[in-house]
Amino acid sequence: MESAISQPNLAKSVQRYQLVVDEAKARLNLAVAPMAWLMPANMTINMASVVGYNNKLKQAVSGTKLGVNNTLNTDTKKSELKLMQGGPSKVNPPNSHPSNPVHKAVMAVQNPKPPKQVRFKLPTDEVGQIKETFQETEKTEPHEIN
Amino acid sequence: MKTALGLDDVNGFPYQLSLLKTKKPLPIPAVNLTEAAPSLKKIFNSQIKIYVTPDSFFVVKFREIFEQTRLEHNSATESKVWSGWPNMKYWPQQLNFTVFCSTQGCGISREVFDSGVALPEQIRAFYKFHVYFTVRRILFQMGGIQSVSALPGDPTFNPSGNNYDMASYKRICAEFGIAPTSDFRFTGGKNHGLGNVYIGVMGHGPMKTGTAWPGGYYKFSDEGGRATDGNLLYFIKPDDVPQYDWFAPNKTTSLTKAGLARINESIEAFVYSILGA
Repeated sequence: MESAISQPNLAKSVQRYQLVVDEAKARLNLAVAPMAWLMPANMTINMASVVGYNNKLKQAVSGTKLGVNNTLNTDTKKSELKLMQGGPSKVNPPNSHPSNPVHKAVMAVQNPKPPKQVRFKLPTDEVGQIKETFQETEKTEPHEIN
Repeated sequence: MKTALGLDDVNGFPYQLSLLKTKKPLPIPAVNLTEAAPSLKKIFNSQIKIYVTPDSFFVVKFREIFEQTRLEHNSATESKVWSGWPNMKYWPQQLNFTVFCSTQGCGISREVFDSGVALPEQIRAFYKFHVYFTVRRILFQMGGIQSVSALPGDPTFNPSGNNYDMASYKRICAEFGIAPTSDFRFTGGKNHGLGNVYIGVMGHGPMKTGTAWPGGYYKFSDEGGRATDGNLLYFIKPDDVPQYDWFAPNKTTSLTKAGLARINESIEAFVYSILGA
């Protein structure tokens, strides 16, 4: 709260509010005043993904009942874990080594197709091939030692 | 709920929480000085419940700012400055101003955040947060871009000359539709709010007298009072009265436009503080 008080400018606060509500996946169903932003009645922090929430910023209209409105924001949106923008994390999880059986099992589920095998075409040595010639050295008879 | 309140004809919200239609200037102070005013300090200097669901809550204690409102006037020059005209450099006037803006200026009365109107506890707790947050936010904004304002306990805090930014003060006045020359002094005490006259007594220390100032028997040293003459005035100090209580209204007609914007700010901060934690 102290940091919210000492924000030099609250111009971006709506975006921040939207972001927080969006990230926390809370349902906006508590009206405190007409034309004021609706706020979540239930603000317990939910760490898991939730099915059934709506994050569109809405204002309480003059006919809205004070308190929790269970008829508001009934649209549900399926929340699921998605890849972050920019692809998955570059940080390797603990089981990410290919030799790890856990990783293998996970990858098998995620990628049912076998990975492509890449073959490298290596150039053949046409010029200056090294021909190993084995020349028989002259066999000299051992000197007889008189 | 509306039936119980006798508000069947009101469309939607209780009238206290619907938008104000008229632009009549709001009275300052909100409560007549001759009447009693319930204590704000009791609410905000104690633990406040923060509801995370309609039923469950945790308690927090905010920083105590409703204090040090008894000014000690030590010279005739300074006392004349205080009694001559409103001056926002005095901490009690700053606090009265911010309490007025957060409650009367927003159109929120004590019955909304205290008791009197039937409201869900979750909402009532939010309004307590809103009043405290807005008081602190306006005090912060009065410091301007250099954040010169200080609170009780800060090293630069001075109750008789607390820094503030005049341009920011005028901007906040314009937001709430208040004239910057408005009087936020508590003039309900002795000597029109200046306080009681104290004299120094050998072996006893300061002693309160019932005499008037100016024009009374006792005088400050810078206006001719002498200990040898027996008319030296030691200092003037008001009774320990929570002055800001008179600047929060007991009842309001409805929310103001500035109040709605401030409530939205409080909602954002409230949700941000809890869900963003």
